[in-house]
Amino acid sequence: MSNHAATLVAHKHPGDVEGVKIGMWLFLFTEMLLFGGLFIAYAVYRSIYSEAFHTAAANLDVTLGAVNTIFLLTSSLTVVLGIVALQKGKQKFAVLMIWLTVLFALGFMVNKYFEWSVKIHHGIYPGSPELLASHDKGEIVFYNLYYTMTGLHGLHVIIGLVVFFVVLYFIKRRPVVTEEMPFDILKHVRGGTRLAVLSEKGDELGTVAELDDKVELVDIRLTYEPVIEKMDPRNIIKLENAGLYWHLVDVIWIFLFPLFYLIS
Amino acid sequence: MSRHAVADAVRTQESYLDVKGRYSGLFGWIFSVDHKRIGLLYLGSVFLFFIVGIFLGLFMRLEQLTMGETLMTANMYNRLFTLHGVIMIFFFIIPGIAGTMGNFFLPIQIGAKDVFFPRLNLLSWWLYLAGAVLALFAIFSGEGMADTGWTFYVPYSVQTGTNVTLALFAAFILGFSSILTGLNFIATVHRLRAPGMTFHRMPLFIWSLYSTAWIQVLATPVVGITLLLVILERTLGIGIFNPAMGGDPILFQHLFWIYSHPAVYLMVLPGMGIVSEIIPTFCRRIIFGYKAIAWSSVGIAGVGTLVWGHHMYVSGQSSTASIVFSFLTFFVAIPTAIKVFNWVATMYKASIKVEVPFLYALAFLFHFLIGGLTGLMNAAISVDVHVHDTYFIVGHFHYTMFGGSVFALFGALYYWGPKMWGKMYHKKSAVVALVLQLIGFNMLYLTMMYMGYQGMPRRYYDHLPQFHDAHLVATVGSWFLVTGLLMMIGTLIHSIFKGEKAPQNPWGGTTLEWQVPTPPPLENFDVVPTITSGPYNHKEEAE
Amino acid sequence: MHENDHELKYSTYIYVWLALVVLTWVTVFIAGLHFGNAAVFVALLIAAFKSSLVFAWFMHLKNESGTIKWMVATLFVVFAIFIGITFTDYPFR
Ligand code: HEM
Repeated sequence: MSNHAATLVAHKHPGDVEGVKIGMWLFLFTEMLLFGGLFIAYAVYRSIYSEAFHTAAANLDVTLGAVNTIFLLTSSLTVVLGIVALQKGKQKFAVLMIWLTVLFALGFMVNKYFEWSVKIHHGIYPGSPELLASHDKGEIVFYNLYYTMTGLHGLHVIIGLVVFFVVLYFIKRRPVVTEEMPFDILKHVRGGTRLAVLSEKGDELGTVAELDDKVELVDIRLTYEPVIEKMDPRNIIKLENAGLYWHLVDVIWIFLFPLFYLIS
Repeated sequence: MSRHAVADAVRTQESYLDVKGRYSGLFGWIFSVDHKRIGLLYLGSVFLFFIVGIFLGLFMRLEQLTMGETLMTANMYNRLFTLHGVIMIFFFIIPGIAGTMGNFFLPIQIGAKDVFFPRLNLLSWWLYLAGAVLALFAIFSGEGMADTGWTFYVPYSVQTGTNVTLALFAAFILGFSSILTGLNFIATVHRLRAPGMTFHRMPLFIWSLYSTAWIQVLATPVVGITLLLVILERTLGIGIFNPAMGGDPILFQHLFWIYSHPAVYLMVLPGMGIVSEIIPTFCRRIIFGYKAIAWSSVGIAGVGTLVWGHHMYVSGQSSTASIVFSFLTFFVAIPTAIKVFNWVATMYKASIKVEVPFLYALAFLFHFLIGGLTGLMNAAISVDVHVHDTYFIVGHFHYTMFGGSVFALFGALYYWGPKMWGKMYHKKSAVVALVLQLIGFNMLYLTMMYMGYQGMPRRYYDHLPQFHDAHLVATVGSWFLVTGLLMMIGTLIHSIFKGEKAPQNPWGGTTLEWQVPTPPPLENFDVVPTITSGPYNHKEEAE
Repeated sequence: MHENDHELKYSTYIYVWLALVVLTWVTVFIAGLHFGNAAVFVALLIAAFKSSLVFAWFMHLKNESGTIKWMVATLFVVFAIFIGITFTDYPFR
């Protein structure tokens, strides 16, 4: 049958990663400006009702807020550690770090749940008759903003959790790259692709053109050159992008925390 | 290997319309990630909405043919202009050029095989479709279509019983679709330009799309959250804009126009890009002031984000704000005028080949000049206080959006249509349609402006006797206009099915799309070209 | 993506995290001192500093290309302008 088992190695142009990053950052921009609209609203209302905001903020539990801040900061740390681990090829450790991230995120949500339920128990929620009757307008605005902004943020935490589960799934399903692809795939490789024929040991056998003369029949397997210890680079990109999203969720909380909890 | 290479060469020359993908028939279109097919998908869908919008406009004009209630109640009229506005803005003109011509020609013009994220591109069309379905629900369920006007101002949009929530949600999803297009274009322009295609060698259409894309990415989320807040108030009672809860309704207007004003530049910039392509091709010379036109696109996008408050002179914002906004608004005229001067300078003493696309470019210039100069009038606070919420405004924005961008889009259909579907159109009927459009358009909207200046308010289903004659003229104008539009659409459809085969380069254009076969093959280029000069190199060709 | 792109060290990130935790403590501590309006300013300043740490290290902005840095800068300028111009209205009502 085949004379040589040659491996055709496609070295992807590193520029592709840059493009994916640009895309991801632009997506983050839209997230930031989604919250940006709310921050504008916050700034406007705080300038109008600065006294009432002080009074209302006193009702929020600084300790709970601070604990939640630490939770998110730590989860951000575990994500980056996970990325580094994946880059080093330490897959087990990376998976552990992602699970820790998920754990901290869940902790954040549980905390949030208790915080909200206490408030709601005291009759402080949007449109509650107690809130409307007994507080002045500035405080009502404060709570409306509080619920909207932390609520939207909480929603993003939940989305982040889902994203991490997806990444975990991919890491589990396809940890290393040795995919066999039909030769046809060559057509679809982007510009800037370097092709070389290697032996099993990794020595270069020659260019594709020379192959014609020397070899009659080849089994050609197209693989991406493994970056580090054969980890699938696509998993690293996925985790990096998930991480970027997660850090953004963190950054938004870094602002929400002082603006709601620390202004009393 | 060599056998493969030969087979490939044959296959890559095959038109993208004939290529057999994973699916065939309808699925071959709606699941295709080819930027050209997605461009045509967008073209089909936006024109479907355009036709609906045209008839809504026509019905409104019919109601104004007589005094009193004839065709419809006041409330029905309110719903009609809301639906007309929402369709024309969110469903037609925002995706109208970027989604159609942009998707099709952006990759080709920069020498790429596709956009950077092809699947995301398809997703953005699907989101558009989802928004359309939601909007249909909004019309036919519950209390029916919203009657708030396309601006959805609070507090009315919170209080009305009509289906505002669904309509807002549809707009929200469309916004998301538009963001994805913008994101994709920015990444594509940055990463996939052919070797040698520096920023200053990009066609001007690309510059305009690039500037537009930034508006899409940076401004759309702000309106997204604003609409979401109205939804929250309607569903959960979180009254961020509700004065009874300490909210400020004017803040809604700020947030709304932070997006929606830049959005009007988002509509017109690609139109300007198209005109910048058409003019040098038919004047057969290098465009005058390439860099000035290119950077003025960026300038318009930039300054355009600073001027939203000129919609709010009479809303109760502080007079300081009004003065600042008025001042800034005048600045938009500068980059705009730079473009107009350069276009005219390109035409000056050129040996012009008069073809339909060129006539549309001229129509664009004519309308946009009127629209732009009346815009300057509105920018002055004292004038605007007088004409605010009158037909003057309605006339003004139809001149810019319709007479400007939409006419540019029509021009693009004649200019690039032969490349897109490989067939030429029937020139005579195209010209007749254009003449009808021109007569109708100006009869309709010039009269509207005139009435507005006399005090005819917008968004009224009825009018006073002194406006009756003018309304008559306007309505007759709308008949001419609609006839012209339908005739144009007929001409284009006829060209697709029955037109003569188009040559590779019918107009003698110099940009990259004219160097690929007609219609283009699946991957556009056999060999990615290397670019050595600017886009409008007519001189070299003459040698 | 490659080994030399950014240093593969766990410790750097742990230091950054420590700094973030300390800053959180500082901001809570300062808020306890009741400086009035200045407190908000200081709190925002610290928040801005904290988030730039996250941007630069956790999000690797430090190692990104000039293009991406420019884009991020544009975003912040645009947002600052949005807020700035909005405030030509409210204080002057
Ligand atoms: C045959 C074509 C068209 C006709 C007959 C038409 C007619 C009208 C009429 C009668 C109104 C309502 C004026 C009023 O009473 O306030 C209107 C409003 C409007 N039109 Fe058109 N129009 C046409 C095309 C377009 C196009 C192409 C666009 C945009 C690209 C557009 C955008 C709008 C918008 C945004 C409004 C404001 C809706 C509102 O007040 O909420 N129209 N048009």
